Amino acid sequence: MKIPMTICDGYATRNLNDLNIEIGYSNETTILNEIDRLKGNKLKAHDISTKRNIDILDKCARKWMDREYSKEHVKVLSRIINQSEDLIFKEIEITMQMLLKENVKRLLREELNDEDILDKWVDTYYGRVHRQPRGVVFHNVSGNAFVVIPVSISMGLLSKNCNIVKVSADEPYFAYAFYNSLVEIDSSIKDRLSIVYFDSSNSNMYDLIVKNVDAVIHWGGEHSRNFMANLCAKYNVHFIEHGPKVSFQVIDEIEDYEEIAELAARDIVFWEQKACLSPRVIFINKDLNYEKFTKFLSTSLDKLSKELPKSYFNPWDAVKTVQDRQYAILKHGLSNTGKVISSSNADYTVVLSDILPKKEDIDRCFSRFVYIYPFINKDEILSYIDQNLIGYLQTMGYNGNDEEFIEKVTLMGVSIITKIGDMSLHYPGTSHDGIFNLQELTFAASRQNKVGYKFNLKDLLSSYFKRRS
Amino acid sequence: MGFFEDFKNNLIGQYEECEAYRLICKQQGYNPYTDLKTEEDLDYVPFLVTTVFKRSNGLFTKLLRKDINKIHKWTVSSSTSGDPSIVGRTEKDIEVLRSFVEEDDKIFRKRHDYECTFFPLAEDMKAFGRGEFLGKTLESYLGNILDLFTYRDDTIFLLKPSEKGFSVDVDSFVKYIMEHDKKGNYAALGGSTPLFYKTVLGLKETMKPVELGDKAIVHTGGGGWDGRKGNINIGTFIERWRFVEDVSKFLGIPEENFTDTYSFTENSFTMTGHYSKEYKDYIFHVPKWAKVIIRDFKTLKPLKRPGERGLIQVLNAYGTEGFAGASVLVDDIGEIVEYNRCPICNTEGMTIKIIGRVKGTEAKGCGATLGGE
Repeated sequence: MKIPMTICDGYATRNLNDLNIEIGYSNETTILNEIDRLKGNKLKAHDISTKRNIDILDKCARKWMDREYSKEHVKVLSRIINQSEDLIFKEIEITMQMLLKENVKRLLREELNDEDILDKWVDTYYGRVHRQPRGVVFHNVSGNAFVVIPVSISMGLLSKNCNIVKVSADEPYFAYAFYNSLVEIDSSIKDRLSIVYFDSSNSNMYDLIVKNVDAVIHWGGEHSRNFMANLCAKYNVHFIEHGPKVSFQVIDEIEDYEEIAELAARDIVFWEQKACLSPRVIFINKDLNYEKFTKFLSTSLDKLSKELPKSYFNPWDAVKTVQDRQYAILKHGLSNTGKVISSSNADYTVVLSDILPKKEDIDRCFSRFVYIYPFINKDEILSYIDQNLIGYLQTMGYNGNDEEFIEKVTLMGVSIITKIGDMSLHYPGTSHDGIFNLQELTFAASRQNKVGYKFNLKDLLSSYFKRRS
Repeated sequence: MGFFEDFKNNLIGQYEECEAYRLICKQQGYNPYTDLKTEEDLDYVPFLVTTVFKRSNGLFTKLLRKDINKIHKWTVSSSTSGDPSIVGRTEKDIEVLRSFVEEDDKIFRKRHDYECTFFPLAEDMKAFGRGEFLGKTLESYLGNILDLFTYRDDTIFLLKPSEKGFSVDVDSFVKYIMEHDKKGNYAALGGSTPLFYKTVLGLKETMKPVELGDKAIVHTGGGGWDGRKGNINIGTFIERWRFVEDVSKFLGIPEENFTDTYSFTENSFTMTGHYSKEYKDYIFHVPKWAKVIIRDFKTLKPLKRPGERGLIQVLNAYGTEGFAGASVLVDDIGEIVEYNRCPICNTEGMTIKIIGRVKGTEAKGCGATLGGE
């Protein structure tokens, strides 16, 4: 299979789960020319109305939600990312919902306070305010969960930027497919969006790109995050960071054990726990019947393994799960510190642990592998977060009503709290890693010209100095 | 007694002596006393995965079947990841391994009046990284296997200890192949695949091929088909057919004279395969003193049909007196060639291809890996 990308100097071959893929790569000159082309289209992008952008995204989302349209793409994606087609269809549904007209409008209102602020100057007490795009934005996307691609691209287009998106060699397919469906709807997309690939070991390429763009939005691991952050600091380029993150659930109250376990399982299954919003640990109040919860959670994961099955294209996931599970059985079994409930194959693993998981245990929590820790009081959770997760926090799925705990946990860095079962469904307008993407991808321009609102700066300054003396 | 009865006794012994294995059995509701009655029941024997023997997991003392004072030595894998497996063995375990290597040799190693190998002297290999751990000697597993091979007194060992570990004595190799060129001698060559291959590829650029003839043999071993072995990395995956084709052409040795030996540190026997032009691969014979089960990646159930691929589980009836190695699942992929016989030489017993290590990486992306301590 060939993925030409929007620009291409040649093809790099890659075998992903026995699928041979030729990825169109670009060299430095081609990338720089592309950035120049996008730079030249800044005004064009700026002049496209928000309504038109919303329409494009809405139509595109509907296309992808139509299984007839998306089924061929899903087939390919399933092989590349080693997820079942059933699960991918569901993930596409969740992701594309966010791009529907009403949700995008809600997003604009929540993030920018006004639907029109990207199109025109909006009245305010001092005069007018307007949001302007940053210019050319470089999106460095990761391959762990394709949700990041429509989010990043849609935010880039809505904010009226021109966008150059570098895909990951681990998942080079979705971004270009999404680009093509946008172009099918409106050819102006070509003026303001480009999907590219180059060998990420070429650090000079990143240097050249960052030097020539106005902002960088980065999705990915710690090493690449730090590298990009340093480059952006070096060239004074606005840096928007997403990842690496860890998310978790806290269950403080339970009315219906079966229901809450089903919801918890749903959060675990989506994105096979590879997304930043996926729960890796469940902290459950020890006063609750945590054994009962564990049993229901296992049953729910078992049920979901039939409805939204795991994929076994790549045996690595299966082998690693079996290996990690056996380690957990021995570690906790030999020290009487917990027990493991699992499928007979690699479908799911639940570790009910009397001791808090170490960092390396959290690193095992991918592909439907979760730790449950019954806590006596929530200070245990706070202390654990303080020692292990500071700087990595994102979503907390919460079932409870302890406002003081919510205050403390958000003070430590948790940036979004959802109901259990909604962790993979961040509503339009909710913060993303503590920021609002549309705010970050634009800047506010103020026009201070309102008649009748004046103050005398000289008087203000003299009264200030009088007070000090 | 036959394999089944001996295996059953070994497994029951392991169940009784090793709490860790007992735990794994209980987790699966398995009791070897009641659940292992017939040969068909072998399909359900719980396994230990090789990774639990890794140093970083700190469980290897829990995987012993004897007190440490009854362990003769620790054998370690030549880890490419820096996290080797550590397996405690008794003197009897080493003796069993020796007898199996000798048996394997009798079947597969043809007459050789001369020999050179891309391995070091067994003593040098064992000394490399040798240490003491919990009062017992710790040595490389490969070194111990080499120690069991029946080398000739005049065998040329091409790997010489050096400051960086080992270096290849290319001059001696060139001299050896030149000496036997067009002589039709019973000349044997062998050793570590990546080093052998790298050397031949290098020489192909600088000298003409030689003609060692149809009495010469090539016997490799020790893995390294992914291009890496210990701290050696030739930077490319080695396709078996390409290795055989290239080396066969350069040395003028028929492809059917190529054999390869497979084993791993947590196992107690070696398994040798002869190359088949028809299959473009080595056909490994599961010896009658062991059993191999190929398990489906998805269901983990045993596969039985030719061409089916899965994870390799080995059942050892012998040689695991010191450690819980009676039933081990390794992260190598195997493919069933024939369940009951070799389609090439018609020898009875299961034949498989070794496809290679399961490849993958830790999740990368916006979901964080924390890296541990």
